[in-house]
Amino acid sequence: MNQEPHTVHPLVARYLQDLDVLMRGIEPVERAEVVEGVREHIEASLDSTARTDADVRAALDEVGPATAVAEEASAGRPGPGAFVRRPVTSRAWLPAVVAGLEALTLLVVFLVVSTTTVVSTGSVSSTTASGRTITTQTQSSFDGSISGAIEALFASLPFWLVVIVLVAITSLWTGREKALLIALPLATAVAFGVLPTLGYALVGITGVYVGAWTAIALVGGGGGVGLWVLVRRAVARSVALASWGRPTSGASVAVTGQHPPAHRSLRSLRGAEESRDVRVEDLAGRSTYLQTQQLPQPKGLITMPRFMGFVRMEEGVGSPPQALYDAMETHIGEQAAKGVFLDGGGLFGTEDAVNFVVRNGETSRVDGPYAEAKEVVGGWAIMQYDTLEDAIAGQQEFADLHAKYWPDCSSAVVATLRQIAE
Amino acid sequence: MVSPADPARGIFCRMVPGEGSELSHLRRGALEYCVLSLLFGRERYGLDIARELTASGVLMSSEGTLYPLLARLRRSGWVTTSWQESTEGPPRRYYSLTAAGVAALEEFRRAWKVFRDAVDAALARSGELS
Repeated sequence: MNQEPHTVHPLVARYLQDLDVLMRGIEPVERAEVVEGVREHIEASLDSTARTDADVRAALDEVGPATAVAEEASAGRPGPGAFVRRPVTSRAWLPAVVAGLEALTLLVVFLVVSTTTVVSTGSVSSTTASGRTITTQTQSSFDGSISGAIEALFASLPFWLVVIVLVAITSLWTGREKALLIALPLATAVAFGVLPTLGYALVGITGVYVGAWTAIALVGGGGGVGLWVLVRRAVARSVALASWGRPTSGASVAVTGQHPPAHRSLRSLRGAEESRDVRVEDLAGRSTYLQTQQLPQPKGLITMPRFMGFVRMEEGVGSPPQALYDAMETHIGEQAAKGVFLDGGGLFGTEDAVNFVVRNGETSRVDGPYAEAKEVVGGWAIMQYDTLEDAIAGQQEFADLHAKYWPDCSSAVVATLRQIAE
Repeated sequence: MVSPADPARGIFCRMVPGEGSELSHLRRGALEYCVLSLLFGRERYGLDIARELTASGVLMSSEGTLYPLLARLRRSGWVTTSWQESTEGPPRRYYSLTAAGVAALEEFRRAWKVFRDAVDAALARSGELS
């Protein structure tokens, strides 16, 4: 029934790691208490099962999303955003940098091993000419490849050391994941060192190539995919942490959470829903709870409606005069300074456009450019206004710039305004 | 051009507060006393408490949220924990009420009755009209 009481299922380990990361900002003792409680809970609920992946998933499902637990843990105290500064070591750049360095390490190992292996093959042919036995030839090649691997390890040491340090300090990976990341360069060197020599020992010179290609496939396939998965996981954790650490998210902070980036990442968080009217009425009389909700926050960003603007025009009408570009730049600069213009830009021509056309349950791909003249979206913007009236006025101002600075454009330029549904 | 609003609407629909949100709202503040009540007169371990609370589907929706709550109760000095051997598997952490916990439960019981009656009375007024 309970053959392996001390091994934690990887899914459980990941869940607990996520939970721990999400509860950053809660006192360590309490945090550990909650994680331990949940761990024991999961273990106890798995006791009567065969602990298959399905069993574990079902148990985790019962436990509920880690975000919900973390949210409950931070209820009744200042929102995590109030005092949690997301540590530098759990930001999304870290896994990306680790991935880059790992890739560099693998590349260096590969290059060094491949050059040294060529040298050693040369020495093998010379020993053959002197009429020595197969065994000694194998021996000489063996030395070359292994020493090449060791050399490669030394050559990649700077990158590897940085990887070790970064992986060690971040909380975005579990212990097992960290071990994998640190061991990857070592495993690569071993694969490149051993497999070609092994191939040589078994089938001669062809074996070297087979071994080398096997090593490349193993490292590129296995290592690459593993690296990709681990980095994606870390980025997802970092994002969850970021949205959790914001004062605008989570039930403990009674913000309507209308700012989509935070909102979207909290989709699984029942807290996002709960937060809606906590501010209006809180039955439990948790006055402290209510007070802490008045956190400094970019108010406008949260409550103001957002709009999307498009500029559509016929393709091939020529490029606008420089005066329009200049006027546009000034206009957008002003709007951005006012906090109206959030993001936007022009789009490249439709010769680069990719369309996936879905019809009758089938997807087909139709790429640009289009044979006939067609109205295309040339630019877009996401803007934030107090009211719809302001938005319309702003869009008119924007359209008027085109009329003023591009008077000789005979085909229609359509500046569209749409409110974002959120 | 595919309308960008539709997929977005799909995402956002799921975020609109549903019926569950009033419930989770009402739970706040009441749930911890339900836990205290479950512990009245007998020690229990986490899974056992969680299963009972989720059984109704009303009091708690995800078992995991019990643990922050228990941690809070322990910090308030209302519950205390002890390890006990289990017939199946490793030892378990049992939670039990302290004297302060019993007092808090009694106080809540009184407050709850007054509160519930007041809410019922307030709701009855609109109930008669509709």
